[in-house]
Amino acid sequence: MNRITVGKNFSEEVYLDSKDSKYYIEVEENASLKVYHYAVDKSFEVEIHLKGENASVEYFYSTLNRKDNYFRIKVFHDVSNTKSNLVNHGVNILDKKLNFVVDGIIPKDVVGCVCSQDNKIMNLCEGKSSIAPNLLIDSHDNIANHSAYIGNFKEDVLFYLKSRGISQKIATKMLTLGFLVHDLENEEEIKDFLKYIDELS
Amino acid sequence: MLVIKDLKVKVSDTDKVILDNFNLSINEGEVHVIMGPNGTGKSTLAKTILGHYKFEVECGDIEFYGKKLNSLSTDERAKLGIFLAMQDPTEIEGVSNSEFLRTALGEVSGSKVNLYEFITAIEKAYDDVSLNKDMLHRFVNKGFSGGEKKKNEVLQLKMLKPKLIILDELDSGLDVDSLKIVCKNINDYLKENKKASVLIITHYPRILDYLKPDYVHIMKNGNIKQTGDLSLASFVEKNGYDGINAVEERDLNE
Repeated sequence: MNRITVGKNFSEEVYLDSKDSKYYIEVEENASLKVYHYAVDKSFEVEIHLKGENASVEYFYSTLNRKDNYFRIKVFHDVSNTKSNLVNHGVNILDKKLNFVVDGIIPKDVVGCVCSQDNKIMNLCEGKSSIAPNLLIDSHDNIANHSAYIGNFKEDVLFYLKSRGISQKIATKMLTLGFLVHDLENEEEIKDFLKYIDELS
Repeated sequence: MLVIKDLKVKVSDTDKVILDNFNLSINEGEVHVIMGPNGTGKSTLAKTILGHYKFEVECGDIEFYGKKLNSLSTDERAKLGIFLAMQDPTEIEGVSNSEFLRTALGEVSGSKVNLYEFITAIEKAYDDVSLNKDMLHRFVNKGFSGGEKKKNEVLQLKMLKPKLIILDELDSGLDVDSLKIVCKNINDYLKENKKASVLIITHYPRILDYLKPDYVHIMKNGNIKQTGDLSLASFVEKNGYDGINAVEERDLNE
């Protein structure tokens, strides 16, 4: 298991290299962490603990999937006034399974937290995908929200691109890139992932 | 250039017929306008010419420079030089205007786009349609006002240089000043590209103050009921589409 700790008052941005399949992350008081996690054909388990007041995490998970895989992530708001925002996007290319299980956990007596999650899977073929967006909130005075979408890229969007002469293949690549890549400024960090998108057919 | 013969179009997977026995012929350099009340099939016609997924051609043909479009995909039709400026342009999250236009230009021209030439041309186009150049780096139509979306459509046609321009309700959502700007750009385009033709789809004759048509067609119940010149549009403005009904009935009685 790979462990990441962000110490008090620090602010960090990390790119996970996907060598490990399990990550344990701790964010301490007044610390913030932004995670970019790009994956291809692999399953992961991630556990995050927001351990000090005003700790925050933003987690961007993007996966290209061609086999049966899952992504399980749990965020524990261990103390009050902590914030989490999970953005989990997957593109399921073939007829395989891609499952997301996403837990936001706020225990009793913990208040003033923001716990958000946005989960989307695009099935390009007949793949069977599932999303379990769980908000396990045991206390009042918190803000929690989630969204989950499984489908394909919208036909209207594809029509618009094609009406400008862009082929179905190129349009799908463009939409996949826009859907999965949140930070093109750091192209070097994700060049392998970009290569996989470019090879989509 | 464009010939539509005996076209019958229904909504895909239903029996609902929208266009029936529709005929239209547009030659190079002509400006045609189709007017008609709501729900008569004007936008369906525009989308069908581009092969929209929601509509199915039951019978009849659409030909462009002698090539039958019926079995071609939407992108293949666009590559032939047909451009549809949409009534409500789609917002595309995650795809920037610049990436979108550069890709489209490469696909339509079939060659790699020179970055310097692209930037020079697009900056000029942004100035021409009075759009902020920063919009080039924003997602396609995302957060654009109605007027900005329409200007963005005209900007795209200036870049892609089509042979046939279809304007679907271009005037909706545009204030008078913006309407003048987009129409000026279309008129300039037509001056530079003498063979290019335009098919305007509209409810109101207002746009015809700025884009002068050679032919005005009145469409009702899925086909063209009457064809004339600009005076027909003036007649509609004065008498409404019910006035066309009265003329039709009078003709039948005679």
